[in-house]
Amino acid sequence: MMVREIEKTGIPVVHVVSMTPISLSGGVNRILTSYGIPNPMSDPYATPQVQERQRYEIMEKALEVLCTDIQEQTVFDH
Amino acid sequence: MKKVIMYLNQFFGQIGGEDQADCAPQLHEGALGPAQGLQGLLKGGEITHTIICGDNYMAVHTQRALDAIAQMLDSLEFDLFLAGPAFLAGRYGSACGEVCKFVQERYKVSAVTSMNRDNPGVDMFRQDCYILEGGSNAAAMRKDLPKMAAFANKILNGEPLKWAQAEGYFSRGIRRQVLLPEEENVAERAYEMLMKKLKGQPFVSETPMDVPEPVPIAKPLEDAGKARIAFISTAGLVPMGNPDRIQTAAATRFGRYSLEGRESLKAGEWETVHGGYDHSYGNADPQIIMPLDALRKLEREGKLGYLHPYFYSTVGNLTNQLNAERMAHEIIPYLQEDHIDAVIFGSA
Amino acid sequence: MKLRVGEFQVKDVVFGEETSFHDGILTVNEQEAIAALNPDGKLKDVKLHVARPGESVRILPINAIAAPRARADGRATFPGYTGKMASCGEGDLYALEGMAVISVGTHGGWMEGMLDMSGPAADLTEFAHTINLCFTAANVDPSEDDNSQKTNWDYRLGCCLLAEYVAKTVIHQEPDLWREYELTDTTGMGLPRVVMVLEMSTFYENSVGYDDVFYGVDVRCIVPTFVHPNELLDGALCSSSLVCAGVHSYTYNYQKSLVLKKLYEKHGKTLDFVGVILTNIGPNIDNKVRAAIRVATMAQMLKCDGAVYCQLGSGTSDVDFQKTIVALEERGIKCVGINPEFPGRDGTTSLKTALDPRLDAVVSTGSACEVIELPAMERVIGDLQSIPRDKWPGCWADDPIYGPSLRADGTLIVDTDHIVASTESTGWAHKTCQYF
Repeated sequence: MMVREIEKTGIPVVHVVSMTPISLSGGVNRILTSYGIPNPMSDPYATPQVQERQRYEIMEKALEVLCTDIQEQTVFDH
Repeated sequence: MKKVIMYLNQFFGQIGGEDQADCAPQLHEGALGPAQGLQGLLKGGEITHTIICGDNYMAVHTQRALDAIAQMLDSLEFDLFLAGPAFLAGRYGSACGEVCKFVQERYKVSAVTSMNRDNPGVDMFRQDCYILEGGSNAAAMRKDLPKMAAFANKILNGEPLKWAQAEGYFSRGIRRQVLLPEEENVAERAYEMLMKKLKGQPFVSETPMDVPEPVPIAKPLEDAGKARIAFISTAGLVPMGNPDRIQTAAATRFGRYSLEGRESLKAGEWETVHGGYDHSYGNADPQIIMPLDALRKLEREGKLGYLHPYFYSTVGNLTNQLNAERMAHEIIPYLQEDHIDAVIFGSA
Repeated sequence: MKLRVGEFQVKDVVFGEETSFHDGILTVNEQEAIAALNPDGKLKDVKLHVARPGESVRILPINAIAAPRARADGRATFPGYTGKMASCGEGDLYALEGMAVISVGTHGGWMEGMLDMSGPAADLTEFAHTINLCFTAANVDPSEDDNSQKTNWDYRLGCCLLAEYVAKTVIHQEPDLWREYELTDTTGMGLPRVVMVLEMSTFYENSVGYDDVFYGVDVRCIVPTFVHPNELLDGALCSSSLVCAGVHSYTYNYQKSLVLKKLYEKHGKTLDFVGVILTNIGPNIDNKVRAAIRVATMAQMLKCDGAVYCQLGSGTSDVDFQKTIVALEERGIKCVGINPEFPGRDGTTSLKTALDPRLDAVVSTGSACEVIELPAMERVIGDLQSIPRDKWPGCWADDPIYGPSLRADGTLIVDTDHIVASTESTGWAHKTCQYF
């Protein structure tokens, strides 16, 4: 997986992904659950205004995850 | 008659014991020691030469030893290279592996050796040559030589080699499809396996499910507001028309798309080419895949220090592991050059 | 519920004045057949072709395959789809055996596939061993032709309509053999209760017309459901337009699943075949978790002891495969999974995207990404130029290692995933993978 290779260089990576089991079995450390496979960053049935907020919040959460000290593979919820 | 060359250490080459372990490679015509026994078992092949080298010499002066062996082999024609058996002898096993790997790469000729499962040479060289599973000491010679001969005969006579377990070699980690008789279809095999499982009888699962080791956890950011962040995605978002021809599956390419001067990604300018999901969402709103407006807002608010001026995009659908690793290694220098501290990686 | 399938062994398919079946020869009136498969005129340039096992024939881009069957009582072969909604799974079904009906479009895409009737690719698929009545056609409305993902709606429906049309000719004839399918009472026999779990393509929540069709309904938002095996044998489920060709279970595979038939054969002997749970490949994790819970709960309520799980596709469906099998095992239901492997073209890649050592009984249908070289064929049904031109996953316009898939002399180099149903998991694959 690409994520593993980047993290190996010491750069922390947050994997924003719907299929968290794939990410876990791929050996990724920081995993943030996304909204869905075709729609990772928001709920497409929400209004544009709500989706704008969702995009912002999931990216804000991604930054928070990158700042979080973890001891093992961890899945965070958006 | 095809030609075979054999490699032995000082002991099996009958030069001497530990006191001769420092001897440099020497070339003898014909079959010596175990090679003589092997000769009688080969069909369609003749051992024309035997190379003997001290185990310590090979371990300490590896390159010099290989150079000397190359000088011997460059002028010889041969179809197969055999080494050992090395049993549980660690230095001998490593030497056999080293020589087999070298010969196979330099002369494009198959090389075969034999050693015990616990010989360190197995893990060092199993991906580089055929290593047959052998016994733990010379008492196993009478079993290991016929096994080596049978395998060698297959190569000499151009017979297809079966998988590791069937042939008795250590897997090189290459997984390939195998055709079975028509009556052994998945319906029959699944039924048989289920009945055994229900009865508590032993059965052999076909698809291994081993989980790889996680990579070491990178240190967290101290302050995202000061951090330099890049965004990478495998959800297949590309500029309309897919200028880099990113494949819809099993991708080998990625795109590097400028974010300079952009505050958001607009519908109509981008499309998604990932083969494995419904495109209607990403085409209607590219920011459902790459939320640039959110990242820009966080940057303006000082919650994200700096956004790398490109985003990287490929398709993570059935992507070959080696291609994924190669693409990552092609992206990493861009990140390092821009002193990127952390990556947000979005997938479908 | 008792289904009788009257089997007529087809020895050849030819074209002629009147659609009829005599002495194993199926004669097809082309004009009538074309009218039957294209009732609304949404396809144009429709032509029929026959491809026989062993012939030097290459067929592409294939988008649907069905088994020819018809009923005497006027019910549609595919209820709710090729005709009015009706019950199915009981009564008499007339079946042409040893043949398949195949639809061929103009453009390759995500789910289209190829078939060779001879050569090395013929070892990889059941459909090289059936006599194939094919139709080629173009969409009147070309708007989706260039898409990598297409509904192929009129081709898929046309394929089922043609299968129904040709089978109608044997209604009222006496078949070679009547096979009876009935889940007889096994009370008191103490046999282990076994359920078949079949993954359907249920992936396009947002778009109609791509996923599997169950009694005429697109199953995109379905929650797993339980069916009698006769319903599948009798056309309740038709195939999607989403899954790559190699791992694709076509309508034909659903109608004739060998896994289903095997469990039927052993019903009342070594096991008690409970039925079939149709489950999802969800587009998000909630959908997958929901499906796993629903399947496990149903299997538990059905007092199952064992299950055979047939995976459709790969990638994200690896998660459905993993989650559902684990959920069943956690409830004490012993599972065997059937799945394709993706070890990479060089054989060194992780085989599944979701790995879990709790999946301890998994049967492999082979590798969906092994690179194979194929000879040129004398005859092509469809369009060979689709290979370099279109957005196929199993072949390529050019490649730094393998060069172009299609070479000037007509030889090919492609992935096994390009070959229709080569690693599908409902029964036929007589292949596995091994470490070399």
